[in-house]
Amino acid sequence: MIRGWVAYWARTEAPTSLALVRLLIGLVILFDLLVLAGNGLVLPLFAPREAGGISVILNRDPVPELYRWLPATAATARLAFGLALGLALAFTVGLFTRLSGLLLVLLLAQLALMVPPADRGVDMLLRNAVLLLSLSPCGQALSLDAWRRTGSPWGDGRPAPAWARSLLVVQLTLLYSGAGMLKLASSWLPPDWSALWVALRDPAYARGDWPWLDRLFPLTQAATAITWLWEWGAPLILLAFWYRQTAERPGRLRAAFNRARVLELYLGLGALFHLGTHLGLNLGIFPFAVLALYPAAVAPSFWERLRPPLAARPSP
Amino acid sequence: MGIETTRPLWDTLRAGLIALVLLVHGSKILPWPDVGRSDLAYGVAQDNLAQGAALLTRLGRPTTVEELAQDVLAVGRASGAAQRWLYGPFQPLLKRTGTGQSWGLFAYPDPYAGRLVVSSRVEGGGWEERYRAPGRGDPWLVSLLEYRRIRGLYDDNGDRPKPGGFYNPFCDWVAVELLAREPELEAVEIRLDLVTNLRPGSDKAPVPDKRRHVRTRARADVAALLALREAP
Repeated sequence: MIRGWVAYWARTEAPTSLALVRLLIGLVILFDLLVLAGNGLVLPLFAPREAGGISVILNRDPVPELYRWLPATAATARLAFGLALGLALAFTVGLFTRLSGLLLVLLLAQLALMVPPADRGVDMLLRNAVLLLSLSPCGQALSLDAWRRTGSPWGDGRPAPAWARSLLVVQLTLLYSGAGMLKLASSWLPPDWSALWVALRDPAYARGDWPWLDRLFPLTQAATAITWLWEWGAPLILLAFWYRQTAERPGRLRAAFNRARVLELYLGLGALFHLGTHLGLNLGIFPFAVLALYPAAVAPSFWERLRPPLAARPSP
Repeated sequence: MGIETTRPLWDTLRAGLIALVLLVHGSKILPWPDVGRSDLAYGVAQDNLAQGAALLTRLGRPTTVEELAQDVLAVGRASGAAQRWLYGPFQPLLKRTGTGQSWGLFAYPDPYAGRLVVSSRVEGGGWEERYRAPGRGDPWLVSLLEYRRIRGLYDDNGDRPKPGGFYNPFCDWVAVELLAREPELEAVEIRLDLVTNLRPGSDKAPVPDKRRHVRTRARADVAALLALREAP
């Protein structure tokens, strides 16, 4: 069993899926940072109160490292934000991918300490993903690093360690399973099932005061039940992912899962769920950050088939 | 997919590290009952306690809401101690990288939500509403106040008897933003009205929004912050 465990995590494959996740996660971070800057929030969110910030950072124990090492000024806040933006851009386009990703995680973690309630669950999810990707070969394809090394931004398709792709799928499973397990409030359970209706009536998240929503209450109850079952069913992602990776092995359940395309069905329902909630609820970047992880569940061979003919691999 | 066999030591080490990471992160998603006294002040928590106490009583174990609350708090303390023991060694790394697993995704949708309302006043004039959640008001103010990170400063306060520690600095900041842009304004009022969402079909009478957590900031109150904002 231990040998099987070691062998599983030592497997290799083309790093295309990882590169795609890196690109999408990077774009989500970039978009969010640009919206933040566009709203004039760099100083309010990241500077100490003495320099125009919302938070009394310097009275904290301990003071975040950024303001222990550098002066607690507006210039430091702007510098840190500018650096985060630059690192996010470098990570997205795959320039010094590992280094830019690791520094980006450390810097985003520092910035998160400035106004803790402004750091949301999705920020942690993004940092988890960037840290994992930084330790992976995600910069070996669809990147400037690949272009410099192989002469093609697609990279040379050489197999690279595949463990990070599996861990990203585990992350997706943990996200949904964790959320499902916490849903023990009566509004998520029968006979109430009012959770989605309540969420859609919350002025902080709703996209509008919709009086007609009450007429759709039974529909929101059905959606609540489906959401709850779907989140509790999240371990199916791992099972379906494993069955897909080991499709050549025998077993009726494995064959049935692959034939029924359980992985595609689960993730397809997930995409509908995220896009649907995005229409009804103002969740910011959350749906897109989660959807950015989805390509990890897809084998690199699928993306390789989509590669334009002109972008054929350079000869070694 | 191929199998890498050239570096068996590294492969073993990596597999071991991954097992550790999966243990830590996998156990972090468990529904640890992190409940403190302040959590029980929420209306939704009181509703759930009342339902729980009624259920236990029906099942033959007579329990009051206060008794159930004490039991819940005891479990919360034990859970906190267990987590400190389990995650203590990894905490510095998790903190430095800002990573972990803590997902709710509307775990406790709040029927007693807060509605942010911002009004402003010119000297000698009455209050004019500038923003009303969700989505009504000056477009720049809507964009600013509904940006997800800013929402985090107030969205959890609707049902609290007292707002959290960031509410007053948030109100200062909103006031400064309005007063700096519009020199004719004299004061800004920020409040988080309590909304009671009764589920359709409820036999209770509709409850109008209740003014709550009202903060008024006159220009003089935030003069220092205004000067700071306008400094080059």
